[in-house]
Formats: sequence, C-alpha cells, structure tokens
Amino acid sequence: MTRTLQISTLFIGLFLSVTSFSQTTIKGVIKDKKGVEVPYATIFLSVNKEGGMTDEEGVYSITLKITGKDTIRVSSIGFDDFILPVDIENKEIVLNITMKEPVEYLDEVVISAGTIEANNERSVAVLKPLDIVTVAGGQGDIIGAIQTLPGVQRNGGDQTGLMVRGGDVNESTMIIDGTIAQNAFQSGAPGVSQRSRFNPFQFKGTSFSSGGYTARYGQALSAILDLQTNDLPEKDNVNFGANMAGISLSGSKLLDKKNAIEYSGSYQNLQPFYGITPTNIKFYKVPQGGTFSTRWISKLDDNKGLFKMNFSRSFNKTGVEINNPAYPGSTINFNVQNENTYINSSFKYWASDKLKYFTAFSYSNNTDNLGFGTASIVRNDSRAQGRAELWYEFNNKFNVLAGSEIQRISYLEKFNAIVGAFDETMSAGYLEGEYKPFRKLAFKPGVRGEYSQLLAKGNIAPRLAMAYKTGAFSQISFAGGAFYQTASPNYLIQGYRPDFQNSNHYMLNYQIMKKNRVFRLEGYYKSYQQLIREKGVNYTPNQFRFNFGELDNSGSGYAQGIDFFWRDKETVKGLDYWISYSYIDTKRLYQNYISKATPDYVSNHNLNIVAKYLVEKIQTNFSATYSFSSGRPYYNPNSPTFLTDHAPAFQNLALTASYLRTFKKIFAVFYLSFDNILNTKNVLGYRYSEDGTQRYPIIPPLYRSIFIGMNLSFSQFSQDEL
Amino acid sequence: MRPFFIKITLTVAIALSITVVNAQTLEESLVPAFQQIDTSKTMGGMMSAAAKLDLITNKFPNEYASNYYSAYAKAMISYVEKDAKRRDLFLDMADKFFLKAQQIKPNDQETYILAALLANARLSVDGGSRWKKFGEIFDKNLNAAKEINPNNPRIYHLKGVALFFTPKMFGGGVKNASEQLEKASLLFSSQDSSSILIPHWGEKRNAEFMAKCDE
Repeated sequence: MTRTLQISTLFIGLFLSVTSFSQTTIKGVIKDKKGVEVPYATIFLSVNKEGGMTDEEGVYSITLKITGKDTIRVSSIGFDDFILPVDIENKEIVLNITMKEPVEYLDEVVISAGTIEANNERSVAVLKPLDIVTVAGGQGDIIGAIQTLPGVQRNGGDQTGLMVRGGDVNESTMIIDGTIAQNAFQSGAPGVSQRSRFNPFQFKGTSFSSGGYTARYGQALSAILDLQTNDLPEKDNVNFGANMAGISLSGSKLLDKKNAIEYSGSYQNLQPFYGITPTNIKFYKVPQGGTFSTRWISKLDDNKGLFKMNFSRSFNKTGVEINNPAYPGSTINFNVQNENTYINSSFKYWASDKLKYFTAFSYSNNTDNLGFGTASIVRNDSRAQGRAELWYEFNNKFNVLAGSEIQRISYLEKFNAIVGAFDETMSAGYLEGEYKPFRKLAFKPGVRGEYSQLLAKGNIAPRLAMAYKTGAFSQISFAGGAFYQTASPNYLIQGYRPDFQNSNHYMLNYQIMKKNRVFRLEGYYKSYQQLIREKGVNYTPNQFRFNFGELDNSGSGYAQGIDFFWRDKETVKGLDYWISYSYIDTKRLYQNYISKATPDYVSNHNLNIVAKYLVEKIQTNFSATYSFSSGRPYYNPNSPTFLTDHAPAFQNLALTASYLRTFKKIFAVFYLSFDNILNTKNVLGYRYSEDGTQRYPIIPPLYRSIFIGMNLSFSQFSQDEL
Repeated sequence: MRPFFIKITLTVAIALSITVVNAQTLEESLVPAFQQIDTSKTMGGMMSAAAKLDLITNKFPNEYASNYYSAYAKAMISYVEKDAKRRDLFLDMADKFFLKAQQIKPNDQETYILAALLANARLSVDGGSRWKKFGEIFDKNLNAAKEINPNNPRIYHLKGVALFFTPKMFGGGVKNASEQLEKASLLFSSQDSSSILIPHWGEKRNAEFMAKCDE
C-alpha cells in the first residue's frame, strides 16, 4: 500500500510537473465505517474544478492550482456523499475520509413477526405476487395459496374461509385498499369450500398477518389479509380465459397518461368440471354464476396522488343434497342464490415527502336467498366503511400514523315469517408511531380505540411490534397486543348483545433472509377472554342451530404453537420450493361447548411442501403441492370426554403443469391440474345419529379431480410494429 | 488483483482523469472516457471510466451529453455487477443523471432510448418479478423513440438484446432476437457518428449479440 502510494505520487508528480509549477496536492485514503477501503470513489473540488478517483486501495491524490477556500465532495456507490469545506494552502494536504452508508440504502430492519408479505416493490421479499397464483392445488385463488403458509389450517375441502392459529373462519378479515371486504367468499352450500371473490391478478401486494397486526385494523381476533390493488397500468391489454368452470374476459385501457380503466366479466358454470369428476355430494343445480367488475385508476399532480375505484357485481346459485345437519343419516335439499355488490375506492396523496394523506371508502351489499328443505331464508347484509388517515415523518428515525374509521353494518334475516335484524355503527381511532433509534432497531407502538353503538361499549387495544437486526441477514422480532371482536352476527340478529370478545397475542420471530433463501421460525402464545358461550342448551355440532339459550361472555381459551418456514430458490437452478410446518396446541370453551376442547376445525400438525420447476426447453412449468394435516377432532356422543376423538390424517398431493407459448402478439398459457392425484379417501370427521348408534363420515366434496384451462393475453402495440 | 501493473494502470488512469477534466471542451473530455466505458471488460476499467464521466458531469452539470453518458455508464456497469442490491444502487445513480438529461431534452429520441436502457437494466436485476413493470416501461419508451425516428438503430438493438434474454415461451428467443439485431445492424452502418454529443453507441455490442445468436 505504501509502495503504491509512493508510486502513485511519483507518477502524478512526474506527469503534472510538466504542466504547472505552483501547485499543491490533496491526498488520502477513503474508507468506510468498518475501515474497509472504498475503491472507485470520485472526488471533486468545486472551486478548482479538479477531480480524481480512488484506486483499488482507496487511495486518492489530486493536484490543485488554486489556493484558498474550496469544497471537496466525495461520491461512491452505496454511500452518502461526503462534503467538506477545505482551505487549500501551498503545502500538501492529507485528508483521510470515512464514508457513511445512507440510511435508506441499508438493509433496514423490517418488523416481521406475525407477517408474511408478498410484493414486488421490495427486492428481497418472502414471496412475490406471482408465487401466490402459481401454487398447485390453490386453484388460482389467493386463499388456496395462503393455506400453504405457516399458521394456517389446511381446509379439507369442506370449509370456507381462513382459519389461523386456532381461530375459526369468523376471526379473520380480508382488507382491500384499506377497507374491509365484507363477504370475501362466494356463497355456497355447507360442506363445499368456496373460493374468494377476487381475481388474484388484480393485486400488486399481499400482506398476511397471522396475528399481532397493526393498530390500523381491528375486529379480527386472529388474522388480517391485507391486499393492495394494482396501480396505473403501463399499457393496454386484453385477456381471455376459458376452463372447465367457465369463461372470462378482462382488460385494461389507458385513457391518457394519467387515467386508465380496467374491466372484467366472467361466467361460471361447473357442469363440465363436475361432469368429468365424480362428486361425493349430489348437485341438483350445478353451481353457476357471473361477475362483472370495473376499475378506474387515476394519477394526480405529477404522481403525488393516486385514486382508485373499483365496482363489482356478481351473482351465483347452486343446489345441493346435503347431509341434514340436524338429522345425520338423512339428506336435505339446500339451495342458495347470491347477489353481491361491492364498491371500493381509495385515495393516497403525498402533500410533501414527509406528509401523506390516505382516505378510503367502501360499500357492499350482499343477499343470500336460501332454501333449506321446505324452509326459505333470506339473509341480507350491507356495510359502508370510511377511513381517513395522515402519516407524517418527523425525521428518518420517527414517523407517526393517525387515523379514524367509521363503519355502518346492517343485517337482516327472514326465516319463514320470523324476522331478525340489527344495525351497528362502529367507529374507531388509532395512532401508531414508528421509531428507529438506529438502523438495527425498530419500535412500532400503537393504540386503537373502538366504540360500538349497538353494544354501547368501547374498547382500547394497545399494540406493539419491534425488531432487532442480529446480523447482516438475520433479525429477531416481536409483535403483540390486544384484539377485540364483536360477537358473530348469528347472535346479534336474534337480539343478543354480548360484550366484545378479546384475544391477546404475543409472537416472537427469528428470520434469516439471504439472496434466494428464507428461513423463519415463529413461536406464539394467544389467550382468549370473553368468548361467547351459549348456556342452558345441549351441545350439537349443527352449525345451523338457532336455539342459543342464554348468552354470556364467560368463554375462554388459549392457542400456542410454533411455525416454521423455509424457502429456497438458490440450490437447484429453476427449482423453487418452500416447506411450511405448524404445530399448534389450542383449547377453548366457547359457543355451546361442554368443556374446554380443541375445536373440530383444528389439526395439531400442518405440513405443506410447495415446489415449482420450470423446464425451459419444453416451455412448461411444473408445480406440486403436498399437504399433510393431522386428524381433526370430532364429536362422539358415546365418548366420555368431549371432542377428543380424532379423524384420520388428511393428505393431498396436487400437480399442475402449465405450457407457456407466445404466438405473434398473443401470450398463451395452457394448464392442466390434478388435485388429490393419489385419490386419497380423506375422512374429515364423523357425525352421529341422534341416538348415537350410527356414525357417518364427513368427506370432502371431491376426491381426485382434473382441471383444464387456458388463458390468452393480447397486448396492444402501436400500429406499425417493431 | 495483486498484479503490480494494475495499480500502475490505475495510477495512470487517475493522472489521465485529471487531464481529462482539464481538457477544454466537453466533446474532447467525453471522447476518451466514452471509449473506455465502451471497450472495458473489467469492473475496474468501467468504474474508472464512469468516475471520469462523473467528473466531466461535475464540470458540465447542465449539458445533456455529460449527464447522458454518466447515466449510460452506470447502466453498463449494472449489467456487469454481480450483487443485485449494488446493481440497483448503480441504477439509482443512473436515474439521477437521467432525470437531469430528461429535463434538458424531454422529448428526444435518445432520451427515450436511454429510459428504455435503464428499464431493461432494472428488469435484468430481477427478471422474475420485474418483467411486467419494467417490460412495459421499456416498450413504451422504445415506441416513443420510434415515433420520432424509426431509423434509430438503438431501438432495434435494445429490443434484440432484450429478446435474446427473454425465454422463447414469452416471445423471446434467438430467432426473434436476431431479426431485430440484424435490422439494427443495417441502420448502424448508416447512422451519424460524427460527434460524441449525438449518441451513437451500440454497434459493437450489437455485433457481439449477433455473434452470440449464431452460436
């Protein structure tokens, strides 16, 4: 090093001595904070208009002609510019410089406890949006893919919704662009799992929180699935899809540089699908339906503002012979006709770099006309929600989010001549700060207050998340808080007004994320208080029971467990796989339970292995998902203990092959998928006849199934093509 | 990087960079620095060329060409750099120079082409998840350049290179790439390369990719 320096000086000396005599030199070594030399940094003196660059050893030396005051500026990739006023005298100046890494370029700590994000905006993410739609067995539905993540109970085919860490389907909420998506799932027959209503391609980001979530949201004891829709598209396109369950047409059209509309329409009819695949239940009216949706996206004021509005309307109907939930062993006709309208709008505006406004509004209206044997039931619910919030950054270490929301929810149910109804106005305010005293440590305390007009009660829910970076690629984080949720509408509609239910979450997460590998381990404990109990009635597993007896909030419970996640895209070229495993121990005393027990929708062990492999030579992507869930508990009236009998374990292997091809300007995907390719005869539980002498297995609506479809995407180009 | 002569080369480069900045006109300064970025095969050579270009831009901060080449050099380095995060950092720097160049000549064919080059560089950092966003920005800018001058060879050169790296199933592949590269090749031979101030890069790189297509 010294030798280089000598030689450098010598060379420069030799070279420059020819051009000028009265001159001086500024020289030194540039290093980073750890003392490592910074090569190829550029140095520039603004008065002298002279410059140079460091060599591989971080050494620089610049000859100057003008003496007096000057300013030195050093720039290098990955560092903040170093600027210093210097006095140039007629003697050599030695200036050794330490460069600082800018805060925004560093791998900042990101709070990861409880949350798995899929977005394209961060270069390193656990999942990307496209990963979600290509999970085999997920049927292109976001929920199908979310079920392969740790902490989520695998749906055996008989349930609808998300069951997270011991919580039932009512304890998770889906949010789109900041407001709740009421009735996120299609209406269908009991015992037949339903898809979510939303096209996965309309989302640019998915953030799944299996607990300990932000103070922005409430009214979910377990989990939040927070989705963000796409921004302004860059160009026009048209997509056409056809498969064994229907056809669809969608597209986007740019109106000008700042405005675009998107549209989509689809018609579903499961006749071709159920025509080929033998079903375990009898559909006397095959599911069919249609959806129309449109979106308007608009940019304002040089990208400072973004407005999005979504409107969708859908209907579907189906008729099934189901096992009579009141009298196992006999069947009953069940038919449903659903109509759903959903409007969602959001507006984000950056008033400055440090100040952001966000407002959102949504409205939904949902009607189910149900036929249950000879009885007819009409259920209608509507929800209007508004949110306004303000985010302000005091400095790069501290920012605050303050907001409020209000929701108006109405339910109406007509059962033959009996009418039940309620209206609720729920208002909430929240405040959340984020403090990063230094780049390795982050705190996110928050508090949320809610008031229910229906219950004439409020709650205050503190939240806290924090994270500490333990190494260049690893971090440890914590999330926790109190979460409240009003009792299920089934109770409220009958005029019961129990207090809020409550759950406290504590979760601790360790994560290593390096290049294309992710390792996560998370342990959690959740306690449940004030759960609803039906008193003075006998236990029945019938989810359509309507005699609830006396209600109170004396229920309680807990859930604890460990979630493991490993993803690797690095080891084998072209192969991307992830393994998720969850162990849960949970018991609760709620609803009509006789004693504290593990609920009948919980498997103690859940394992998912998802693999994708692209064979470029044959332009085909193969994807496989293997799922294992230990047996769910079921109610055996002959057993001396409550809910302690277990069904056999559930297993499923799904395979999808997609052939990708471009014909001129058309990009085509043809797919073939098998669900339960091994034709495993899964039994999800048992139901007993009233006298307890006969038992009937609960089985999924389908065993092995095959599904074929295609998608064509047309891009519009300028008239005379490249 | 022990060899002694590398250090000497670099030392000479430092000395040269000083003379470069001392040179009288923008044009005279740009020619050797541009030649170096266009011919260097090593990170060190490209970095020193980029540093020279930055020094020139420091001296001529309001000139289109200086900002243009500073951005261009960063994009070229980003293709050579291995670390994904550093590639983005180079492109962040390139964006700063690009925005300045865009301010000076907002509706220029070469500005659109530079925007397309930067979009392609971003895309190639993480093709799997960036193809949609940056692929669209790339196409949009090349189309805008084409509306101004359909005979600019860099439109077809960039399109060809992008297709070369796009899997066949997504409309890329060698056959589609070479069509574009050949079209570019014809246009390169008749382009105006009289002054460094009018960008005319790409002919050599185009020929390299044509050779790769023939392999």
